[in-house]
Amino acid sequence: MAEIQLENITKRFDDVVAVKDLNLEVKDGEFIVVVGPSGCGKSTTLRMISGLESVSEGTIRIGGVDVTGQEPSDRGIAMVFQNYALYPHMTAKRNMTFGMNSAGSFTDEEIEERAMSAAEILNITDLLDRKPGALSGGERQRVALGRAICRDPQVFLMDEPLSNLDAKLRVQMRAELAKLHDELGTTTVYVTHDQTEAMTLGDRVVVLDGGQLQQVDSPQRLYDFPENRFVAEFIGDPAMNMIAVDVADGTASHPAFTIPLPDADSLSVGSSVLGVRPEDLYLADEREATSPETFEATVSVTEPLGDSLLLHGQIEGHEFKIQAQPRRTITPGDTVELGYDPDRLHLFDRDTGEAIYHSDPAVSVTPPGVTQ
Amino acid sequence: MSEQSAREVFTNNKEAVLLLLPTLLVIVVFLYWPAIDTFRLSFFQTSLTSERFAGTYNYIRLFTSGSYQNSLLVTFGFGFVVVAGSMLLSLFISFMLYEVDRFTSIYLITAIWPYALPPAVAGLVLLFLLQPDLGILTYWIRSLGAVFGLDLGLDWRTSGPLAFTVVSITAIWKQLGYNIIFMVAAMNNIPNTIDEAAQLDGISRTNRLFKIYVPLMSPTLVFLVVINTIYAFFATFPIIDLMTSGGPGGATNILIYKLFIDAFENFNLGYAAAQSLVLFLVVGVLMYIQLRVTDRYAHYG
Amino acid sequence: MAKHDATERDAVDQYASGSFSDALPDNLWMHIGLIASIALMSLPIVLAAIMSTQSVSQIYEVTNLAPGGQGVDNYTRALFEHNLFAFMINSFIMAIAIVVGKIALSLLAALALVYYDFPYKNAVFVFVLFTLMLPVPVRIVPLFELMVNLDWINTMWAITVPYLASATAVFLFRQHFMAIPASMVEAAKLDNIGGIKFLIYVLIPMSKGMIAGVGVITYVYAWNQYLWPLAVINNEENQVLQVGLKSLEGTAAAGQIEWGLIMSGAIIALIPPLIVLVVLHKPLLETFGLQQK
Repeated sequence: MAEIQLENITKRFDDVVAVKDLNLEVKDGEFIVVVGPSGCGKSTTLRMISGLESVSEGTIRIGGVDVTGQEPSDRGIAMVFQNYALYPHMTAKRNMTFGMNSAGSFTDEEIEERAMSAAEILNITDLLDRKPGALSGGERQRVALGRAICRDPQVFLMDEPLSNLDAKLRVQMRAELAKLHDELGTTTVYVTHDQTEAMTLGDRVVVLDGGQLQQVDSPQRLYDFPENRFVAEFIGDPAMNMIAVDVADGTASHPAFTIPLPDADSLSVGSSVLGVRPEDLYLADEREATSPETFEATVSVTEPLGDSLLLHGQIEGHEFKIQAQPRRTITPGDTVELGYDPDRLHLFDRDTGEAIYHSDPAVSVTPPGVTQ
Repeated sequence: MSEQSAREVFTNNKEAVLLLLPTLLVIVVFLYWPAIDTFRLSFFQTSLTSERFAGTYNYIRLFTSGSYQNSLLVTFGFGFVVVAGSMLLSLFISFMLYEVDRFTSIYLITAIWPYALPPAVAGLVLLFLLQPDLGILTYWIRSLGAVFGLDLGLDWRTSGPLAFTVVSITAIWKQLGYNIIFMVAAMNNIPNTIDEAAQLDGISRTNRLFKIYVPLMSPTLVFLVVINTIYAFFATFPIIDLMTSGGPGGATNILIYKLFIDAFENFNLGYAAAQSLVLFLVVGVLMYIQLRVTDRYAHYG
Repeated sequence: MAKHDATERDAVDQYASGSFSDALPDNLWMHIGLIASIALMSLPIVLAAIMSTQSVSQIYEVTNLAPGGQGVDNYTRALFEHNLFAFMINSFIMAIAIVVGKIALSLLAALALVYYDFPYKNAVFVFVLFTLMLPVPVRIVPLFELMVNLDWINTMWAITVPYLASATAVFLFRQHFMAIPASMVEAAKLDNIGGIKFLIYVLIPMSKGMIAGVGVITYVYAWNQYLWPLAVINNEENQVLQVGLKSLEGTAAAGQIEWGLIMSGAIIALIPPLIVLVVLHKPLLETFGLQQK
């Protein structure tokens, strides 16, 4: 097991900068998830750690050793690929053990022993003689994991390992991965485009966009205290509502409403963007009012999600999403009264998108960047 | 990060060179070098023991030679007949193969077998079956002609046009298997939805073949025209050699046969080299056409 | 079932719904057409096979299409008296050497072209592909002189080595390798598996169909070679079967050409590639399907 340090990592493909000046420290035994939209550089980052991709600038250390110029096989890593990369003509067991003695570091008995114990951990002992063609998606996934576990690496690298599974299996494997990590405690870097996976699996989550680091934090802090608009809108589904407002003397004003910002009496930043998550808006008749005032909105679309009712509401031509309680008879065209949670307001700079203010009182207690 | 670059994980240049070396060695020594030497040789006059620079003599001789002009004409005519004939027949057979949905695999294998037919065997078999005096096929054709009151002599050993017809039929027969393989593959690549839409519109079978399939298959058809032309120009050599030896009176004396005779029976190597160069130009033009056309169609597909 | 009725009914159906191309009566003409075409295509070989069993006098009866009693005699004489057996052995050696050599060389070249990073890679690929423009006739005279200088005339070397490099095979293997997911080689790279080991343990097992397909194409191609062996082999003992057939052409007994014997030779020369085609037609068709892309 080992920690990983990325120092000023930059990767260029011809003229395109895929990753720009990335600094990241992964702690020993940590499960870190790198998330971002496609093309954000997350896979490139993972591949640079593995050594499959060279770095243009910067240094990578694994367990304190500079591995920047080392061959992948010398880095003490094992990788799980999105398409599993299982050889179709080899049995599950052969897939797991093939290549292990290339490095010359294992004896045959050792390989056998490791394959069997990995198979036991993953519950695939009776699948070992089958070829990938005779395995289900989930079983292939386990074999691919088994191949990584056999090698007992310092670091697991996982490149969207669940994205080829169907939705139900994905949820199940997600839980199993978390359990596996608890058991093995191996440092893991996990790449995904799925923010739910990122939130549920990661000790910490790294958000990348356009090759640049946006924020590294625990899932809850990422959700509660996004450092910029990109993180705020990327994390959370449905996405955070964003409204252009004018802020003077601790009050955000919009042609249709004014909202006092708690504990921010002196805040005067002019034009900025107010962010409120759909789940932090509610219909005024659903619960005791927490906001000083309520607003009227016209419903344009209703989306019953089962556990909640997602409303698209219009205020002065501006569209909001509101997560209301389920089983309500609201139809498009209805007018509803909205309240909001005053502790869940976010303010972003209009130009840079940087967070200026979060209304949650906890923000002043825990400085940003520290794990809870 | 293109797909291709992700595969290039091995960076040892020395290993790459070693892997390519056998192939490169063979193509340099046995393909490029002789091809370049053909070019050089075509400017020399040769005898069994000596060669002497002759400038464009061979080329002048070539293009003023009546027998070469005849060979050019015969070859292009032969090429046209063989390509058109084998492609049309293959197209109909392939279409029938595509249309039926029972016994398909047995039909397919019995239709493509001429792919394995050696041209020499094709030539020898039809040489016998079409013998003017004791060929059974000649006999049947003659009997059929008699029904219509025709008295067919069918002595193709003395009649140029008949000999040309006989070698053309033989060459077409041998090439059916290859064409059918490619055409059936191309038809199978046509999306089923197009087929179903055409049937729903009540388009007749013939229209479906010529108005829908043929245009959609056009990249394959162009490829086949090129391959069939090269076949007719070069690979039909055994058929000519065994059936007519270029005769009668040069009626089947295609370029490759003439080249072989000039090189290996008359030992006129410079002259033969000049003929090789003309053939190279023919191949070049064909390949160029294929590249251009398939390029153009690639943008549609 | 009254076929006539069914055809009519189906014609109505066809008109009404425009579908039902799978209804048998409608396809009856297609089946008839196919059977007729296939019968016509196969007729010459069937006739040749029958007549290869006939004696000279039976052949000269022209319309006698009954199998004759001289089959064993014709085939034995063709094989041993006229040396077709020896020619066939030479053809086998030549074809197998070309198949094995061409596949091996092309696999190595394709491995380098797909999985190695080296300068001027595209130029090398174009250099290999350009040889499509250089069939034997384009270079036959200097190639012959080269054989003379190498002292390869009348040897197996002359009819195998020049065939070992192949633009088509390199192209097909390259295409096939590029369709294999990149993660396969990446997984190997993580284990420090080298190019050759990757080829042997991963690529070749994953390319069995393609290798079989290229094998059939090459086998048929090599077996059917005629012009080049005719040029460089001019002694009986090293001749190949296709050219050897030519020597049968003039066989005559008592002034009458022994066509039965000649036809037995033709059948002998046809059978090996035909067996290869029938046995391996599936991979062959797949390979050709791929070539279209």
